[in-house]
Amino acid sequence: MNSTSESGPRQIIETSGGTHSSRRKQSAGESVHLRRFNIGPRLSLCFLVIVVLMLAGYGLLLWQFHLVRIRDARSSAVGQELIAVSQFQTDFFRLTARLDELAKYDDLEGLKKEAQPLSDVLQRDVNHIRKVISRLPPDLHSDRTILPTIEAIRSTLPSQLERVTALAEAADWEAVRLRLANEKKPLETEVSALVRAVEQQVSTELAAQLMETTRSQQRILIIVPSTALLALAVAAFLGLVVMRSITRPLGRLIAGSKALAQGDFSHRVPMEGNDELAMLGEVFNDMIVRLQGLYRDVRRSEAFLAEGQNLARIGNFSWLVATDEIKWSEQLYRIFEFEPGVPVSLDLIGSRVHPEDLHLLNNMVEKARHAADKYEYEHRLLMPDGSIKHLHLIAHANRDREGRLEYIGAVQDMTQRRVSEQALERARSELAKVARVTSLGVLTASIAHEINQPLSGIITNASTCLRMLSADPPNIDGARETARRTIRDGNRTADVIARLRTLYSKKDTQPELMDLNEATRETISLSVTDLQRNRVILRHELADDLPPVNADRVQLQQVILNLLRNALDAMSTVEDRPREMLIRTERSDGDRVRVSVKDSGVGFTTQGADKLFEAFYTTKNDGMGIGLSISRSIIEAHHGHLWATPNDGPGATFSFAIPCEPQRLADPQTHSPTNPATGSA
Amino acid sequence: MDTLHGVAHCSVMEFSGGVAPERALVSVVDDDESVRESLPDLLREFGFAARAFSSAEEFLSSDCVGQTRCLILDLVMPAMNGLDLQQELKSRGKKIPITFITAQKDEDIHQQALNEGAVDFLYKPFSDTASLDALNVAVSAN
Repeated sequence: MNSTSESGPRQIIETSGGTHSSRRKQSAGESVHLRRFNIGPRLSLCFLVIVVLMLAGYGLLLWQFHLVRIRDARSSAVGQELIAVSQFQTDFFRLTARLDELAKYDDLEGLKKEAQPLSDVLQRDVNHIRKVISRLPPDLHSDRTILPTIEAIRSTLPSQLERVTALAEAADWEAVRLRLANEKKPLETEVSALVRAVEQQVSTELAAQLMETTRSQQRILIIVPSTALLALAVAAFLGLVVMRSITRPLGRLIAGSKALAQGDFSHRVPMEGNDELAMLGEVFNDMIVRLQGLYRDVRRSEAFLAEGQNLARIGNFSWLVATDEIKWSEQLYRIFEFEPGVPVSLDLIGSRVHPEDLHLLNNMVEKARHAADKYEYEHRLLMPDGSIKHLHLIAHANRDREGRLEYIGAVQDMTQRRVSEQALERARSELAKVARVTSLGVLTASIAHEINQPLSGIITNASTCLRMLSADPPNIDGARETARRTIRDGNRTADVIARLRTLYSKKDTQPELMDLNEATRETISLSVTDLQRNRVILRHELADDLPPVNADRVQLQQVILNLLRNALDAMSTVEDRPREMLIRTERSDGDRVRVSVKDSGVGFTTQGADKLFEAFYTTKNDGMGIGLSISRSIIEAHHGHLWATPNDGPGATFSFAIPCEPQRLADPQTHSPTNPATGSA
Repeated sequence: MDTLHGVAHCSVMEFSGGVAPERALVSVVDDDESVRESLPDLLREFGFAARAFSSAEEFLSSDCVGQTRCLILDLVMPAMNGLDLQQELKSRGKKIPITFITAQKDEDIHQQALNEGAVDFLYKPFSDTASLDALNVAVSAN
């Protein structure tokens, strides 16, 4: 969901829920490259560019100055040359003029005196010229004649002067004047030509220099402003770009923060690049996602809690004692049947509390005034329509942020449970009665069957007796035998009836010292036909040394009967193996007597084990399943216990054990299974 | 109820009466002791030879199977019951007429037994004349 940046080619990844498309307005070019750098380098780069531009401008300027300076140097060099040559010329003319003058006046003294210094001056000039020329840039050496000419002059001059002097000394002033005149002209011409040449050079150079200077001026006039403008433009541009590259993302971050503050968790901050701001954006997005998840979790928890409260009919409340400020959860409003949101006060609560339980409310307030640690109440509400609700309330003390006493608690509506419990108790007692009646019904069938057997024997035997006596000769012995059997069967029938009468006439527990083996045998005989019909092979192993027990015979027989019938039912679907039942009595643990009924039926699983003894649990589709739970109650009332274990092979074994020491039997009214169960609600 | 295992050696010559002419053998199979006591005497009074067995297996393992002219058979017995024995005899090819006796009134089983070829169905307690009629029918049919 976050915008990501990659070290390689950057990609803009569209985010979900992003409402900002301003990002698109950016030109891809500039942001691409800039965003690769962090802000610091970015700004530095900016400045660098500007500085470089300015330096370039300066460089151009300097270059121009340099050009001008060169030009200037050339001009000055040439100027120097001119000066030197002019000086030479001047000095030369002076020399010749002076010589002329001296010759005119035939001034030998003067000649001797001045010729040499003047010649020296000339020499000096020539040296000077040579020096100046040597300093000239190579390309101005174009006129090669200057130096040789000067050299020639210089070299001939001393000899000339000597000759002139010699002539003067010889007082051949005419020759002197003549010689001077002859020499002077070509030399003067040459010198003048020389000067002119140099002047030419100079003017050329000056002209060039002027042009150059003008050009440079122009260039400078162009360079400076344009460089300045360029630098300005670039600075402005870069500054803008860099600024935008910072303020835009910042703007987006600000927008993101605002959205978050308003609770919009779907907002994401789109960021590109991998500078600090991009990282900040990423972190921000991460945070939003995390917050969104947390928020969702919190909402879900709230929803679950509300659902849970609804299901369990539990509501929460808080009570700030100092201000009597009470806050209720929605479920609590529903329990009290007030509109959610109505301000809650103690009076409001009192208006619903059952009049007989109001004292509990006062009690609670008292406790709160004394800053009790916690409290718990069960009380009733009397609703406007007259119905009664049972509430269970628990609260404990808390200190809020300012240290004030506050009670936090929960209230559960237990009405349904109470009602159910009462209904359950009634149902159990009803069903216990019915169970007896039903088993009675089943027994009746097997009893009838039971009686039929001896009856049929009686009739057969009596018929046989009659025939035997009617025979010729009468079979007295046979008849006697049949009569005996008849009486026996008649007694047997009477026994069955008598037994049944005792079994079902007793209402109260009457413990008596009884033989468990005999009771077992009787019960077996009552069920024989049932077992036969279901093809059950019954074996019994009744211990010989079984001590008598002090117990209610009827009830114990009921238990054994129940176990027998259960074993029978467990095997009713068995086809692939013999249906075997084993009833055993034995001493156990020294002072107890145990009766077990083992079958080869369907057995039970470990999950079923717990449920077997529950009231109403049954796997039979026509049974009522209360036999085992009642049987257990009977046995437990005799201070024994009833349990079931799966066999090693198929089927299960149900056993009960009761002490054989004579003990006072518990009062049936408090220990019969029809009484309400004690224990916490 | 203990299971009785006795080896039944079949002999037509009954000691009671010692009548020379051959008596038809009627086998009684019932796990009820009073029936096994009383019925054979009655049958002998009727003029039959009678043998009693406490279980279908006992009857089958005896050598009276071939000689029995009629079978008086209890329906409800542990292990192999009356109907099973009927099937077993059929599959062995023994055509012995069967009269069922039972205390249980179950129309479906009654009908099933008759469909399988039983001669009659008697409900306990039954009169001696009823049993005699059934026996005569059975024996004459054989």
